[in-house]
Amino acid sequence: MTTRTLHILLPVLMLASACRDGGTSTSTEETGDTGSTGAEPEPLQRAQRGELQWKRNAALQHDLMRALELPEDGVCDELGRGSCTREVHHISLGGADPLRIGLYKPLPDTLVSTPIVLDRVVMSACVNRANLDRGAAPVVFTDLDLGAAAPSPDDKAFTATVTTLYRRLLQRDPEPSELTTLEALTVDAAGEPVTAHDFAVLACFTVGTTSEFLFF
Amino acid sequence: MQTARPPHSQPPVSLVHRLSLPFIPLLAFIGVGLAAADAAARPTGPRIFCETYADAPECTGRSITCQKCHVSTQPVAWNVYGGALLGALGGDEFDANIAAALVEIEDDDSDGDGLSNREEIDLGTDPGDPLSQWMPRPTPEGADNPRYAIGEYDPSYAYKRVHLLFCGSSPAYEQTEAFADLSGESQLSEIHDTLADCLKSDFWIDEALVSLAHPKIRPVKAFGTATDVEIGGYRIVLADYDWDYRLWQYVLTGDRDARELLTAQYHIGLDDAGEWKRIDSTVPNPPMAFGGGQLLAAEHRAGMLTTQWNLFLNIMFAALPRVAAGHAYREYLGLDLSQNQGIKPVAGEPLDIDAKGVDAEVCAQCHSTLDPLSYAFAAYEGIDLNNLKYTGQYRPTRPLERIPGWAEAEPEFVVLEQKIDSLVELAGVMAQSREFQRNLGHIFFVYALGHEPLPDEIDEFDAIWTALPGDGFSINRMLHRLVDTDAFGVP
Repeated sequence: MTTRTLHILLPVLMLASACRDGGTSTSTEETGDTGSTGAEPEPLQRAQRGELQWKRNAALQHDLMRALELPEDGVCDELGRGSCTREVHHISLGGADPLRIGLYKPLPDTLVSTPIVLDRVVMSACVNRANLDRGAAPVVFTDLDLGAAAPSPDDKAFTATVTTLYRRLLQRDPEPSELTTLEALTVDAAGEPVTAHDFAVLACFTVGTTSEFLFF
Repeated sequence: MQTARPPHSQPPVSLVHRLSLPFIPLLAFIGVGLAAADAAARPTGPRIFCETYADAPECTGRSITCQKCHVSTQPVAWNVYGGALLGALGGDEFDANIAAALVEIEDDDSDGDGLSNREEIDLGTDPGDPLSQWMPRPTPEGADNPRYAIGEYDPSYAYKRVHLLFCGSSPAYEQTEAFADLSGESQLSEIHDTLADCLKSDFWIDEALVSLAHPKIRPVKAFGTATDVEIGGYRIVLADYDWDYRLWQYVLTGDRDARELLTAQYHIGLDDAGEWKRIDSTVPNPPMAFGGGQLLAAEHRAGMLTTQWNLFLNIMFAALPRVAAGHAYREYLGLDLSQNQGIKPVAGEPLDIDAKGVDAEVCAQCHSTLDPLSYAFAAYEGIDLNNLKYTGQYRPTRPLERIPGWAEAEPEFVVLEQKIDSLVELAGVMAQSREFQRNLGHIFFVYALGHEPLPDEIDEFDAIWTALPGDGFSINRMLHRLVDTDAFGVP
């Protein structure tokens, strides 16, 4: 998918995904359906301007620091070589580098590596937070026993954890359909429960890599 | 403001149109070639275009270039609009008749894209490029979006953007909830209160503003105070760009007058507590370094143009500092001569005063504007390897020493069609110009929106930068106006 295509689609996806569950929901609130049975729900209004910006390296780092209460060097360190967002992958993440390579202006568009780097950074931040919460008084994953199995979807700890992540990363509560989607993260491919630590990391990564989190 | 395509000018779908469209450029070239074999690109064209269409976006919020009519200026070649214009001129003298020719082809659709030339000029698209189009934004359709006020100013959307752009991070959940509980008027007040706080934040001053300064300052670590180049115990510090960054930060914050970017005759240092300190005197170089101070006497200073770093980096060994002049024109007026922007030829120029061959036809189009700017920099030293103490100094005898033809030519210094006597005066003219104001608006508009002003944003963009004089040239006040625009707050 080209960058230009991504630019066209992402605003629509972001605004749509913020409000609906992939177009399959029949919730009255989400679709605007007035209750008539059998009728196709009316599509929601989509962005008129659709000119979102992506959170570049500094904003991404700051938002992960704020949401997960991580120190500046706790978000992502690339194999001891330096900060992912500031020193190693900053160009991919839309930063400039005037002193080392004479790049005085950030690149205008995403690079091929940008999605991979975004995954890398968010995963690192989520793992770091989960590890910190497992080793000391938890800060984000306060409703989980990180040494035990993942909570079942009907467990209050599941809803509380997902809600915490939505509030911290997206500044809102999850929709019922979004809770349902994340239920799949409590079990592995064979249907066996994963650990609470893995669930915490995966749920954090899933919410932290939504277009809603990455664009504004 | 929504810019709608006039109903009478929908693209025609006819057999004739389909057949002729691909051949329009060819026909134009053939016609032009037959009609005006000795024609050339005319540097006065952009000026006359803007005299004729003073309210066109190219003449207010943007910079008109030769590409309005040309696909190339050397060798000269026209696009279909330029070709049609040349045909309408009919071989008559250019300057005296081109305005009438412009009007004559206003109602034509030279590029066959369905809009007349005049409609495209008013809209800001290119009448000579069928791919240069503007599609009006769609009217919102469908069920109300529960999270965004589509098609209208959405305070929650704007609030989050203010946080991210000016404070560096999204608001917390609790802040978002508290904001949602406010009334409409209170939400707008909260946006501005938040912006005011953000504009004092470390993120805005030390990250965002600094990043916007990189293209202006163009730091090079090996020449600055962080260099690790050392010879015989002397670190090879040739100049210190941190002075430039501090001046930029200082002037563009705290409701200060942004014109001082070009007119400041002071420097901004740091006191013992690390706070900004205004310094009016000269500053000696640090011990064991060739540069790093600010040795230029105050009366010869012109803000960012005469910091030791700027003079060192952009003049270096040049007798006639064309790079320094072109850099100033591009970065502080938004006019890139290499892109044919801001061509304002001075009669009789270029003199080719240093015998570089810039009076050749291919060079003269730009150098007739550039060289009269460059003369104003000629009394400032870049690097003199025989006298390193001269770096960044004002030496009125320098032009005579370095440019053999200087005394005989007695060149006139000119910027934006105004004669000036010194670089300090040049900077003053630049700082008072619409181009300077527009460029400031452009820097921050693009930062906040992530794109150039679009046709339906031009009015708001123009309103922002033209308000600068009334706002005391305060960038903070300009940003407060910016976050109120539809361009910023309508999802």
